[in-house]
Amino acid sequence: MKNIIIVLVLLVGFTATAQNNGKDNGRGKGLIEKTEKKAHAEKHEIDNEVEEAESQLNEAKIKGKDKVKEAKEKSEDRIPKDKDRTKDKESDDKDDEHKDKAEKEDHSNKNKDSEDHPGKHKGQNKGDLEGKDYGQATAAAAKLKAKEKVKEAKIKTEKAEKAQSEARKKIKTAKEKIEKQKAEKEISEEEYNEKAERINKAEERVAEAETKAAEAKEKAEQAQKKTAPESIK
Amino acid sequence: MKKTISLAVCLVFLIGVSSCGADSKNEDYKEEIIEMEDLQHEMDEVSDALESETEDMNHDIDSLLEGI
Repeated sequence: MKNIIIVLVLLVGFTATAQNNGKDNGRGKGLIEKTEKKAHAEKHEIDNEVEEAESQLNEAKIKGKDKVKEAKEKSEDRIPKDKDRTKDKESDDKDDEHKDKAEKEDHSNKNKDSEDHPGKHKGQNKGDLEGKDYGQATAAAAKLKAKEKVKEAKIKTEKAEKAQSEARKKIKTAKEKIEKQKAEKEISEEEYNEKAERINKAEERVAEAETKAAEAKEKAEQAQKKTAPESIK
Repeated sequence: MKKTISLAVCLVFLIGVSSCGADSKNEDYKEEIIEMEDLQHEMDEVSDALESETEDMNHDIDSLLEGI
């Protein structure tokens, strides 16, 4: 009799555990689907915002071009100003580097145990979800959001590459133009050298931008691997 | 009597194992959330940096090639 009771209790225990696990898995899948739907809706919102931002950017560009035209008309000694601007830019770049470093340090300080880390307070407003379900749903949502960010970064990389290619075309045209001007003796040797130097600087500038874009692309690709479906734990 | 005690011990052990499993699963999710949030932050930085770099480059190229 005792043996029968023992077997029964064990069976009940195992069944309860198994049911609990099955329930959790089922609920988890449902939650993932819900989260994916939510994330898709968010994606559409983000797309709309991006479109709006792009239209605003275009407007701003048009306004900016008008301003540049006005400035061109007003300015006479542009080259010395450009030199000054380059100097200013160098100092700006240094400032930016310092800012970037500070931000990176700040971000690295927000380690996993830090109170400031964005993930630290997750789970305090979890609504209807509890424990494992909440964790699973939040992790899925975070992954989808990260995927969106990776996609955005890739789009920006493509735009940057397009801009670089256009800049290269401009440089090529400028080179051909000064060669022609030199051959037809439309410009002096001095003018030619000055223009050639500016073209060289432009080439260096594009090369610098290309290096940065390549680094960004590499980062985006690494991030994409991390957010790939097969990396789901 | 001994069997009942051993049964109780078994049950306690089972419950303990299952709750530990759930805890480790939660830790995994937390790790993943933090990793994904770090990634989001990194990608934001990458996007912003690229955008400003492209704008700067366009501006510099236009200035340098002006009048050629």
